[in-house]
Amino acid sequence: MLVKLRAIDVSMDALTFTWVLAAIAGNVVVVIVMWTFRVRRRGVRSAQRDGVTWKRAHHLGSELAAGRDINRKAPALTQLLDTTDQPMLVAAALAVAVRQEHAEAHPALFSAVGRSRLATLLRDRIDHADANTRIEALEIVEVLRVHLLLGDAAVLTRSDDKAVVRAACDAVVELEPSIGIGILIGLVGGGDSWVLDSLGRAVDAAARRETSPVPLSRSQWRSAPMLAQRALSESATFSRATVTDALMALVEALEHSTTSRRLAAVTALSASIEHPAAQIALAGALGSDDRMVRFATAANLADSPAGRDILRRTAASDDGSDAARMAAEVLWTTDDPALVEVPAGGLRVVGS
Amino acid sequence: MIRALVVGFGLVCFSFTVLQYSTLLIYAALSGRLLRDNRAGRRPVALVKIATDRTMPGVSVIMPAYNEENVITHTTVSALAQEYPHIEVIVVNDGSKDATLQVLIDHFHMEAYDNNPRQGPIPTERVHTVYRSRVEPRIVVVDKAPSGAKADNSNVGINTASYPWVVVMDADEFMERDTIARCMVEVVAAPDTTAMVGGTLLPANDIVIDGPNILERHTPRNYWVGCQLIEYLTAFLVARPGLSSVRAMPIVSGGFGLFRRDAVVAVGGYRHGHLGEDMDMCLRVQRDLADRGEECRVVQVPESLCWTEFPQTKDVLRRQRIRWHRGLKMIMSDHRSMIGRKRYGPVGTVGVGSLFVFEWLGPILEAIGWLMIVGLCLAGWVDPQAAFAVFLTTQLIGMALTMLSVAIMTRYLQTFTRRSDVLRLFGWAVAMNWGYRQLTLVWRIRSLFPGATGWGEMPRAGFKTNPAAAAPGVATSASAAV
Repeated sequence: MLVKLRAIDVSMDALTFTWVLAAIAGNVVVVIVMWTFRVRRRGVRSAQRDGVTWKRAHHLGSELAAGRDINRKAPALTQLLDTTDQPMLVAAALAVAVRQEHAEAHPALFSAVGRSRLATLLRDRIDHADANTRIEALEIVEVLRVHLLLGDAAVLTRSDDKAVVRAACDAVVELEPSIGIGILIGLVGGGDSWVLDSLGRAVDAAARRETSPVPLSRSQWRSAPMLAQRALSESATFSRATVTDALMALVEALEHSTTSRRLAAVTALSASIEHPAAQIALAGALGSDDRMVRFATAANLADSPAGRDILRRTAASDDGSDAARMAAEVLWTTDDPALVEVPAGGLRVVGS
Repeated sequence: MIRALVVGFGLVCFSFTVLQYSTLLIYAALSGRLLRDNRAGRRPVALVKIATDRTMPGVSVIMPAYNEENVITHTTVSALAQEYPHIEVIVVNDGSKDATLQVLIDHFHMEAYDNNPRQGPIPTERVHTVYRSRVEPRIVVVDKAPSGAKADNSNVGINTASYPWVVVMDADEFMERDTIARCMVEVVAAPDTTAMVGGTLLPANDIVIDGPNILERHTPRNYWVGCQLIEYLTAFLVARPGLSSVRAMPIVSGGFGLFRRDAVVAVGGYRHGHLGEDMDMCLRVQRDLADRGEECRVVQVPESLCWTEFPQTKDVLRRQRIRWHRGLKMIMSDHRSMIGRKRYGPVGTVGVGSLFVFEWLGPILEAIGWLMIVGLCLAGWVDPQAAFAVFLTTQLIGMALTMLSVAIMTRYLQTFTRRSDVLRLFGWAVAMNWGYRQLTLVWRIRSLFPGATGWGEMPRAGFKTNPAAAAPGVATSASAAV
């Protein structure tokens, strides 16, 4: 049987063709092996070089974030960013150091970053066509609080790519929470659950940093449990909003058809646990038909003395719900001296 | 007439081989593109944001355990050490005959808090007692009536879980610190549509651990483990990322997988008595969501690593593979109606279709093909030199493809960086195609006939915790005789 290869104007018998294929396959095997060892050698060298740069940047970032030796380390950080040939690696290491620092990072770090050329480099990457490159730049803008790029980030909140929009919103929220909240409210109706999560974080950020009220109307915050929580905890913050209306919005959200909204409502009410209305709503949520809501409520109640009080009372009741069992577990594992034994007949509180 | 049939069958085999190799090449290209992409899972800032964000949804790690006294504390510690804000570990003791339960009670200071737990949404065997720790509130141990079935144990864990996401893994597996964070990055990317996320399983037979950390990672020295590793690399670094790229991934491994809890509960969890319970559950979730008109995103994250002890002897491996293939037969029987149906999208046609063609039909065609070639050579119809040329060519192409998976691992994952480890990997890639592959083909054919389906006893070597035990040339309990 003849095999004709028209492209190279060759014909050969089938056996020869098979041997040719075998030879090609054998050569491919050799090429793959050689390429892999070359790539391995290059990878090891660059990992060693990158590792040194990363450690240095991470150390500088950790020290500055903690506020140690600012006078020496801040200029060193600016110089590192201006002279390194791996600025994105250095920026990533700094961002990781900032996030790993549990307390709020010292402002000297952000000032040192602001004095460097990083903003210019990040702007180029934000303008890049590749979505992942843009998102990476936005993440660094967010964590290192590069205020110069607030406008660039705000523009990207109208991108067609949802992942880019989300990263841009997170960056804007971190730089200017009130502007971020306004943008996120406009996205609430779009149906993506991440908007609510981002909104909750934005409200927290605003509460930590700002005292002026967030201008919202009732029709807007009814869709956002976190915003209703803000109204609940600050009472008259929102125009035409009342505590009762805020509570109603959160209780309605407890019965929403989507899990994400129900859990967001639980978290929002728990953040306002000191308010009696929130306590009543949460006590009711312990008996919800949705198991996830019951357990999430119990877990959230465990975080505060008022919440543990509610759980203790629920545990002592006779309804035998699994939320009561969760209450027993919570009382067991906190430093609360109340212990719970579980004999065969049911729950009994001892030692209280 | 016979000659025409033989030639016709030969052409079918040739076409099948070309199709199989080209599909693998396409998967490799897609996988390479996925791994090269600057995705969130490869960005340190994105990972640390996930790891430090207290608003992230919680993850319940479920570990069904049977006779795991040697490893259970190590694996539980590795789960608790995950760099993720909200983790819960649920160990389900399936009536272990050894001291698994007592080891957990002693190590984590556990005490019984519920002797009559209520049945959860998925029916299971009776649960005796739920234990909680006085020092570590994130761990739960559930002691239940023995069922001998991972499906039942996993379902008990799912019933007990408090969080909206669950990881189902084996109790002899060790995770990297960022394994769960890397999976949750994909969830965060598309929280409303992601239902399942898979990771990469690697052999723990030659790693050295210290508490929750992995100190050393080495390629295996055992022949059976080495050949299995190459198979797994082809699956987890080539085939599955390729399928994931085209939204056609039919399975998230039962050895390690992240699942949306409500989607699993909606289909009744894992099916008791099914030999391919992991793939069956994945497909039922995808079918259920498709039937309800909801999007279902199933993703493979190659960088999310989980280390598990691979079978080290031929007998254990044979039992495993026969069981797997019998499970595949059940899968084909239950889910082949997905092929070609528009409602199920690429997972029905490409995912289940490729399972049917390459995993089910492929071994049968291959076995008949080789038998025919040998028979025809003996009958003088085929020139032995030609037959050898065909055999050598297919072997070399197969070797090239398996070596591609080694190249992808070295380039993008960089898990094994020592020259000796990479050399050993290539050695296993060669060895795998000469003998091992043919043996697994025999086992697959064997599975078509009735026989035992149990796992049998799989002796565990446990994890190495003494660095000196991993030195080259030192015989270890893990290097079982071939």
